Amino acid sequence: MSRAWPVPDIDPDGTLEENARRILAVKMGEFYSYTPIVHTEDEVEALHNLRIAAKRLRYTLELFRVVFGPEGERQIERVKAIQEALGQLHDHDVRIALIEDELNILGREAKGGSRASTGNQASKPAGGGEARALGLVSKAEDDPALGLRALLERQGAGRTAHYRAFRPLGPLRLRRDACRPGRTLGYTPGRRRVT
Amino acid sequence: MDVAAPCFPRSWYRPLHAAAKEITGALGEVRDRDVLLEMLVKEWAEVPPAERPGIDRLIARIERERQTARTEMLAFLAGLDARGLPQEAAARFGPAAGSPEETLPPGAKHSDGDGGATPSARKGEATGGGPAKRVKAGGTR
Repeated sequence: MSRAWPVPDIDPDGTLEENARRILAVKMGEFYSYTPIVHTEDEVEALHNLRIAAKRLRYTLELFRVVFGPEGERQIERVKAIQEALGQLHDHDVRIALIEDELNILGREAKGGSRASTGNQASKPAGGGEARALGLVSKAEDDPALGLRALLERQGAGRTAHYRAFRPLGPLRLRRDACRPGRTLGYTPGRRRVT
Repeated sequence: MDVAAPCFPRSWYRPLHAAAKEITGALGEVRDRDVLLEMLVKEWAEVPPAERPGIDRLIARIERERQTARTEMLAFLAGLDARGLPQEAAARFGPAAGSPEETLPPGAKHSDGDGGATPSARKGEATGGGPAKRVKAGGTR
């Protein structure tokens, strides 16, 4: 997970509004720093970090909703939609990695001849009908790889669908100055780059 | 807590801040697996029988990981009590941040509810069968 950008100049003696806007400016800067990767579907890590940045931005808007008023409320909903779409994407990435890992384990087991879907019994000599009748030989329909591959395919398709749903919601659609009508937020988009 | 850090003395805020992050991490390890298990149980019910052994494997793996994470989480939370974190939080931030027993309404009680059963296990119990029971009974790994 990416570390939160530090918020300089927090003034414990300042007003809530002054500090809230300082914090918001940094959170928005962090959020928009991911703009370059929005259109790259396979940027798994960066999209995950964008989700975290969206979460931080949303919590800031929520924490200081008394400061940002109705425009803040509107932005909360928009950031929430982005965050949820990215959450779906991330869930698929986690599952895909898990399934791929399990398939790798399965492949290693198969090479080692250690286990099959019938458990330890499967390591007994494979034979003809008698062994199959005794359940000592794994049948094709018992092969765990079958279900794992099918699941992997579904997760891949689901990820693509969620990415397509997310992209139109991306950060470019949020107005940078939305929470501060008529004034800039005091940061330059792109000043910090995603690493 | 991140954004408020400059407003409080580092000497006591930093350890509480770190503890808060550790708590979310420990709870998240279990919660993430609960979410995964729910998804896998749903998949299991929807796929043809031939695809179930693969999902059984995943369920068995996540069940094991969840159990480990839960054991670690409980030990971690017990450790927080032992080192007086609730009292420290209450002393710094007021009673609302203190021990749950002090802040819950009369008669209310904190509990983890199911004694640690996973969503899939609960589902299996409710329906008299299902992926979790199969996994537990058969032991795919």
